[in-house]
Amino acid sequence: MLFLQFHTVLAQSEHTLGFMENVFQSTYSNPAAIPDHYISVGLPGISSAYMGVTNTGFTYNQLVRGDSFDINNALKKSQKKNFVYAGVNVDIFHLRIKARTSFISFHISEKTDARFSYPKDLLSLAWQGNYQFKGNKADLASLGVDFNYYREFGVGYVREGKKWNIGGTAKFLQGFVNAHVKNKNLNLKVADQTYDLTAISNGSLNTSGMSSDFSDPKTYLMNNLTNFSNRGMAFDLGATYKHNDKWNFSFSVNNIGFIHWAKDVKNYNIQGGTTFDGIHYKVPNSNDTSHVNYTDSLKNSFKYTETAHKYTTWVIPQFYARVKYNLTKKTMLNGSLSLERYKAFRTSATIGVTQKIGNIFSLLLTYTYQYRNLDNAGIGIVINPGPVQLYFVSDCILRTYSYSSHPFIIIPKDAKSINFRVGINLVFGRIRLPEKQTAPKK
Amino acid sequence: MMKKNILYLIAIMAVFAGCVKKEKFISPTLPNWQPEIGVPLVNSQLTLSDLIKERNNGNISLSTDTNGLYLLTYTDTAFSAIAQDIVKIPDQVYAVPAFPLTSNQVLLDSIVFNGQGTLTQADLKAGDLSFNMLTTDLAENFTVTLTFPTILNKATNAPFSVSKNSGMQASFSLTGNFAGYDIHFKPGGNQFDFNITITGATAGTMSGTLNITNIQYSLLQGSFNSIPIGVMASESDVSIFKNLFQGNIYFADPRVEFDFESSFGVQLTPNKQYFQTIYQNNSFDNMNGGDLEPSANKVIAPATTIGSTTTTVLTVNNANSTDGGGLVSLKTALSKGPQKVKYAVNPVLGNMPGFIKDDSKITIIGKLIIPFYGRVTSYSLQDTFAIKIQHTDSIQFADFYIKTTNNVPLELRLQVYFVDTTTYARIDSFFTGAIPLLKAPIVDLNGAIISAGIDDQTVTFPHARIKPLEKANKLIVKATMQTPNPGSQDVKFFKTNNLDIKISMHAKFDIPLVK
Repeated sequence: MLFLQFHTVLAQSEHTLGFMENVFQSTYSNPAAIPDHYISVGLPGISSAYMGVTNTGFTYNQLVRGDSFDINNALKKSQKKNFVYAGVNVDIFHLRIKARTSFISFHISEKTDARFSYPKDLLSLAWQGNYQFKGNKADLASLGVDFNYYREFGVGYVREGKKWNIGGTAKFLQGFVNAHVKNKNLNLKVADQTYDLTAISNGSLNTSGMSSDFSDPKTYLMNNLTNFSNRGMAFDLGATYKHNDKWNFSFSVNNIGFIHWAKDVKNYNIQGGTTFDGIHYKVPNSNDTSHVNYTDSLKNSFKYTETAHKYTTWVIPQFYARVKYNLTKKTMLNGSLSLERYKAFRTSATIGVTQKIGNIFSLLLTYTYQYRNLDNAGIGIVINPGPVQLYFVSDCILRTYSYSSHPFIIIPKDAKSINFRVGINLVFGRIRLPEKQTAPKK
Repeated sequence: MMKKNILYLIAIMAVFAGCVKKEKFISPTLPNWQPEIGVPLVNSQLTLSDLIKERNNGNISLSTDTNGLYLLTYTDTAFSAIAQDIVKIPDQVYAVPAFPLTSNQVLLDSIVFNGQGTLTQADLKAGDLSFNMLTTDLAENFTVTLTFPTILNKATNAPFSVSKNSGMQASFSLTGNFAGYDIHFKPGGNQFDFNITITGATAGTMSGTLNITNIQYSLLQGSFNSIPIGVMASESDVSIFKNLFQGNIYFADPRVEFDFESSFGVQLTPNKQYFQTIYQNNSFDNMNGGDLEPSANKVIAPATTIGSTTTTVLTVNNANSTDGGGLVSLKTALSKGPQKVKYAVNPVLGNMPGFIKDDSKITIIGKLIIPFYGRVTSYSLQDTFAIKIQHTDSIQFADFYIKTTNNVPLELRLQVYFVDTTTYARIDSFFTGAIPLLKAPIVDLNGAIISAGIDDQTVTFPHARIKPLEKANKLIVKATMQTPNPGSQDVKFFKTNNLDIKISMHAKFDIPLVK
């Protein structure tokens, strides 16, 4: 029987990238972006390498104050639902060609990301004890793990109009490995006066492809090159409105899609509840010959089942609204609002300035408010001498950092999210914009 | 234009670079872990049957009646002597006067029974006959035959008869044994005939003495006078009062049952000698013995058939044991907390017909039955336990929440003392004041519980109170109990009475994570 469960596949927002329209990879964030070149080619492994790490709960400087850990402060700064994220994406290939007023593209990307979501109540429970929850409950339902490894095949199309640019990308997703923990219910109740503890659990761990042999990555990749058992699809849609020469407004919705996991699937389910209301003291040699075996009682309170039902995970959708003001031909002011949902809705806002030097160099500086943190200064650099286009983009340059006792480990002190994308594209044929006709001087 | 753009770029980069800051890394230390927890400790439902186990240790038993009411029973047994040691037929002597040998003699004997009654039959299992004769003017040999027409062989029904030839002797004896013979006495009691038959004598005279000795009976039938069978006494150690530390226990409905098991075929009267309670200072009270008192006119029923036993139960209870006439009632005596209860009776065989077997006896099983129905005022118990309290530096405070639902008809005041026996110092007490731990339930006039006593309280231990407890090496627990409406109402204790105790703790710790 097909057993459908709906879970999330991960992706991470990139705020600065969407403003870098002259780089092909900006279409990952802004599908209606109009590039500067007729042709863009991305070669395997060098076209784009992305890495990101995030902890939405607290920064290092919120965890450590002075010379001591201040866990209470870190808890105070955390939200009800938090997560830690790490991801690596590598582009294998891309090709984009201009055809009349449209751009057609094709790309293949390899994506791996992992997310551990932790509720604030869990950390509070462990550090501050359970008394704070008396008469209430510690809500641990958002505790979870998500891991994904999949390949994305995308076909993109952008049409440039007088006022409107419309674009989109249809993506086929080839899933390899997935692990997903979902809790419908996980909480610990503490009774008001008597502090009776009641634990309720209704959750599941779904996995696909976890029994593969990863010891030889080359062999693994070869064996799974044509493995299309776990199939999915997603799409991006975007539109840009050119109000006038100065103002541009764009909207996009990315990653609407799913992957259906069908190969090497396992489901581990646990459901039940138990209450501990104190030791049931028995008078020695009393008439009551029963005795409470707390271990057995705990085991019997929770029902554990293993199944092998296929399941579906959803990609995390992202929504962007952008505005661009052309201060000059080479200087632009940018702004965006974005929204994503993972366990909770999260919004971000970015402002930035782009400065181009000729056609060779452009620098984009941004400042993003994200995960209740203002300390996200981002940068985008594009260097384009000839057909080689080198780029680097990051949403968060380390504003405050220090080296740990190990010289190569840098500790970002005030950042919650660090990411960067770097790569080399090959671009051909700069698109020349028609000059405006001026009235002849009399 | 290009220059302007470059200037813009440099300005932006300069501003941006100024915002990047490198700080010196300091390895952070771990703070103390200060969790605040609430945890349930104990949640017990106890019934009295868990706490008080029914048992039977021979003389003392704790049981319940059909309603589950607890009964404490002290049992003791007294045995009487057997009848053949009490009621005896002494040796008999009959002087036969001189008579001529030419005639037969029919003589009537009347046995001496020591005023013990009038017998109709005596079954003998032993008895020696000797007839010592003295003759004069004897002319020839002759034969003497002695016959008892009403002393019959049990098996053949033939009368007892013995013969002997004189052998020309002036004096000779004729002997016999009565074992297996029944004496059937003539109406009027205690008399039987015997015949002396002479054969072959033509002259002379004879006289003699008839002796019947070592008479042992297996059964006597007839009417018996008042014969006391001997003093039967017993004493019970009433240990429930021995653990009395301080206070009074008052039992509302104590009773004593005397089971008189009699194999006498004659009713007896108890004939109380004394019925007393002995106190710790060796003083005593004479109690009203209820059915044992002469005024009660109670008798111990006779056995209905030979060889059987009949049990007669005589009781002492609130109805028949009252204060007055120099005697105190059982209830009053027990309320004083005696150490012993003792009694003695000397049952007397009734002045009436019946039977007595040689092994007839009386066994008295005396039971002091104390139903757990009564009242307690300020009954105290104390016990001591060894303790060791450590690592209190990590505890900032500990509050204990105690909730009790009491369906046992007792109010309990508990105090726990932490003491240092090396310095004889009392360090602290758990409760600040002897406050009720168990609130008494509401009981009706019959002593049954209407509604439970529910109470809850919180005992606070800040760190300043906890730290000194490390010096304590002993815990003294003192419990004072009393029944509801402080000691003014009788209550009943059933095995189904129950007590729920819930203890929870709210505590905060301060635990260093770095040594």
